[in-house]
Amino acid sequence: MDSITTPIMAQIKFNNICMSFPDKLLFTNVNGSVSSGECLALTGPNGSGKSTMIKILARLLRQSSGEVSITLNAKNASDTAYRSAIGMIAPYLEYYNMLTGLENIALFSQLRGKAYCGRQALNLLDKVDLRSNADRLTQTYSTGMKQRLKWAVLAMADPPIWLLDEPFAYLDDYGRTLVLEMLTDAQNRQRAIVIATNDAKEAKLAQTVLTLVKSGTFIAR
Amino acid sequence: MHRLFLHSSSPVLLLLAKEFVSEYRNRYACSVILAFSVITVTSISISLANSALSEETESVLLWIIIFFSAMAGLGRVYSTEKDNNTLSTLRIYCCPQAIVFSKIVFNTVLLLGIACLTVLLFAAFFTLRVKDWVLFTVTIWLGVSGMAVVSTLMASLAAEARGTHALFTVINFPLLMPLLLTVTDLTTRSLQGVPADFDQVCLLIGFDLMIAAVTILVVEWL
Repeated sequence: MDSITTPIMAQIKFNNICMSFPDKLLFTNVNGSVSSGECLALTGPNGSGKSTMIKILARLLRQSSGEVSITLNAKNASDTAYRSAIGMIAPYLEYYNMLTGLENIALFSQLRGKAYCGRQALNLLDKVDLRSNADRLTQTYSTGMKQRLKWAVLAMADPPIWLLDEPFAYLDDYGRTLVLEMLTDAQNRQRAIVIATNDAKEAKLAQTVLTLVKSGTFIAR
Repeated sequence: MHRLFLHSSSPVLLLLAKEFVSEYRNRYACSVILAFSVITVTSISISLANSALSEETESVLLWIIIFFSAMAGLGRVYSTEKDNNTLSTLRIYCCPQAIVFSKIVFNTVLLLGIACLTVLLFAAFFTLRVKDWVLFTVTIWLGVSGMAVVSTLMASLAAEARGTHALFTVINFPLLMPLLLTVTDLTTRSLQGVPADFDQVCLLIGFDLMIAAVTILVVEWL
């Protein structure tokens, strides 16, 4: 994988992000940045806007005001490069039920422009303990298995910036240990990571914690 | 040994393969459109009790069936993705133009198959006699392509709205009116053996290209 041999130095930066809906101000003037090898945790109570913030960073939602930018090897990323630089795991992002686990990995890694390597895909499925289910349609997977598949797809695409919304959701103890290993490995390989979580233990993985509070402001430490 | 249908460097081809493999495995859109088409043709045939139909009536009936078959099946292309939470995943992994283009091609192929089947059913149940096959084929192809493009664009809009399916047919009809009027007239000409009006063929080509261009341009902001 090219990205391992020559790691791309990436930074995602957000300045003065405000988000409001017609009947609600969610947050104002949120600032922060994450660079390769760093991890930022977005925490806060339910409804404080953590998932919304992650969606804004992934460009799945447009912020009311403010700016989000990505630099790759110190150059501003174009729209196409921005999309290619991000990988995401979230409860509201699913894969295709009518495809097998292996086909989903093949589809999404190739959509990222990566040449498909069957052996690597099977190794990743092995790692997340889904090898024996590689050829089964994902509609037969349990919720936890689907979550593991998301991790395998993300590892296969291996983008420089990982956006993770509740990444430990639905996982058993073994799955949580596995994900912790994958996160540590990703940080060691200079991936920039943003985690949105309610769990204080998960937030401890991050060097920087950004806490969104319901009043529409935020606290950084 | 792992069979892999999805092997390409082109996002459009990958997404097309995904559409066909998924449709082959659940056969939802095909079944809905097929059932609608067969039931409508047989119902009309029974109610008319073998009465001879004029070329104008045959032409109008043919396009009404194709239009409502399209409305029954094609609106799902985006709403299913939205309901299954796969549309956002796709948006993370590839550009919206590739998504919409693959869906246009898939819808065109699907509708073309249904149009061919409807024509065969018409030939079996009615006295459909085509006198100008070239014009007839070109009209079906251009009409179906235009319908697929408009339906895909509207499906992408409707997926973001509530009451998706009702909205889909309502917003499609006025947009497809110029196309339906033109294809109906050209089909009648092909059945009667009257020479084609070249301006109408150009209008169809222009309509298809214009809607396709608008779709590709605006899809980034949908």
